[in-house]
Amino acid sequence: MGGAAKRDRAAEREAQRDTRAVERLKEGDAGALDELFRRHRDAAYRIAYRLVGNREDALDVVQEAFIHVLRGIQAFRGQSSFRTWLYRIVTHAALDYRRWRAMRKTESLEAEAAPAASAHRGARTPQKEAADKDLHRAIEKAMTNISEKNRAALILFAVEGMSYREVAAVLSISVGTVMSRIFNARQRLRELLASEIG
Amino acid sequence: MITCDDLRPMLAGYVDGQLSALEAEAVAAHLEQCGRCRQILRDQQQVQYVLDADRPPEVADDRWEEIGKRLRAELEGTGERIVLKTRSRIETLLTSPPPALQDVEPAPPARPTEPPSPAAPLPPTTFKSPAVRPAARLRLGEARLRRGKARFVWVAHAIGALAAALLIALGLAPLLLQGPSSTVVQAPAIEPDTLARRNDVVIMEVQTMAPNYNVILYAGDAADVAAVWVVPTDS
Repeated sequence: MGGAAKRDRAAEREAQRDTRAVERLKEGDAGALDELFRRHRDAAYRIAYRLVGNREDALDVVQEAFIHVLRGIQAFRGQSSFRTWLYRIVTHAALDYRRWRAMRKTESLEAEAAPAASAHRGARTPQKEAADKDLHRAIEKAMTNISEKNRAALILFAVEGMSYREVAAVLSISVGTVMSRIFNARQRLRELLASEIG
Repeated sequence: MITCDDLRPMLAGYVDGQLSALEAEAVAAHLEQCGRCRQILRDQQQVQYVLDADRPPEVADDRWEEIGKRLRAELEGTGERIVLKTRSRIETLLTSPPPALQDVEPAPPARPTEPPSPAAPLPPTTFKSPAVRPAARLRLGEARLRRGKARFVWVAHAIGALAAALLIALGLAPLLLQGPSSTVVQAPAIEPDTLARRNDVVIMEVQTMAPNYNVILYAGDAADVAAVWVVPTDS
């Protein structure tokens, strides 16, 4: 309970900092842009990565999402937190990006495997590394075979650590729907990864 | 009596600690009696464990700096304007639930058509207000979109349809009045006045023969006129 309250207070403080930065950004303050970008870029990247499946595209999505933010910031009235608004933009930008990618028929994801593996830390045997790499690839592939709305809910919760309530706000759905989408997404992943995770 | 079907989606909430105490108790009681649901619970936990352990590749600081610089240039209006591949849904995302995400399992991409050039943006299905820099934001359209967006949408549709009908009627009127035997009369040439141009968006005003109406056209560079608004000339 104490931990949850502490987290809530920290989230509240962060939301207040965001609100102040948004006001400064509306006046064209580049420092505010830097602040918001630094604070949220990693989370935006993780969401985008899980939705588009590779680092380069995910970085492109993050850039596009922040450009949408810049171009639309004057219209942002704070009906939701900046974080919720940004994640919503990132989610939709990533899904748009995937469709654009599919239209271009450019296959993308496999080249990421090597840098992905190198990013993992700790002393590991070559066998373990190879197994991780295979699992990583399998997860990426399986993710692309889950319906968009189930995937988005799962990613926002499982990857970004949002509560169901926050996911519901980002996707504009009910908490019950979030729960069933996450359930369905995991069940589907379980089927798709059956050979990898036993 | 809680059934498996009722309970199954709640297993996700149970795994994730997102249920109320009462719900969690009900699920726990059911799990004690139901082996199948216990198995599904384990599946849910296992997938979550795998996801937790699998991290996206890290991004080097210089990549973030590069993007940060581009964003700063965008804010300050310096440098080349970035052509986006994704649509701006700012208005939609501010005011109403986002468009439904696709519910179907994705099919493998199979499009034998010629792919667009690398710089080509997504073809917009509907054209929202053009994204312009804050400093250069245009009075027209922007102000209208801000006011009562939801109400404005259907009014805009109705007015757009009216405007299109008006344009067609104006173009056909000379032909209809003079009958089929007369020589073909050209519809009056429409010469739009360009009000503003922002890279990929041109905003034009067209004088019509109706005394109180002008037509404002928003056009992208891909030859697709996307929205038409009629406004009284005295407004």
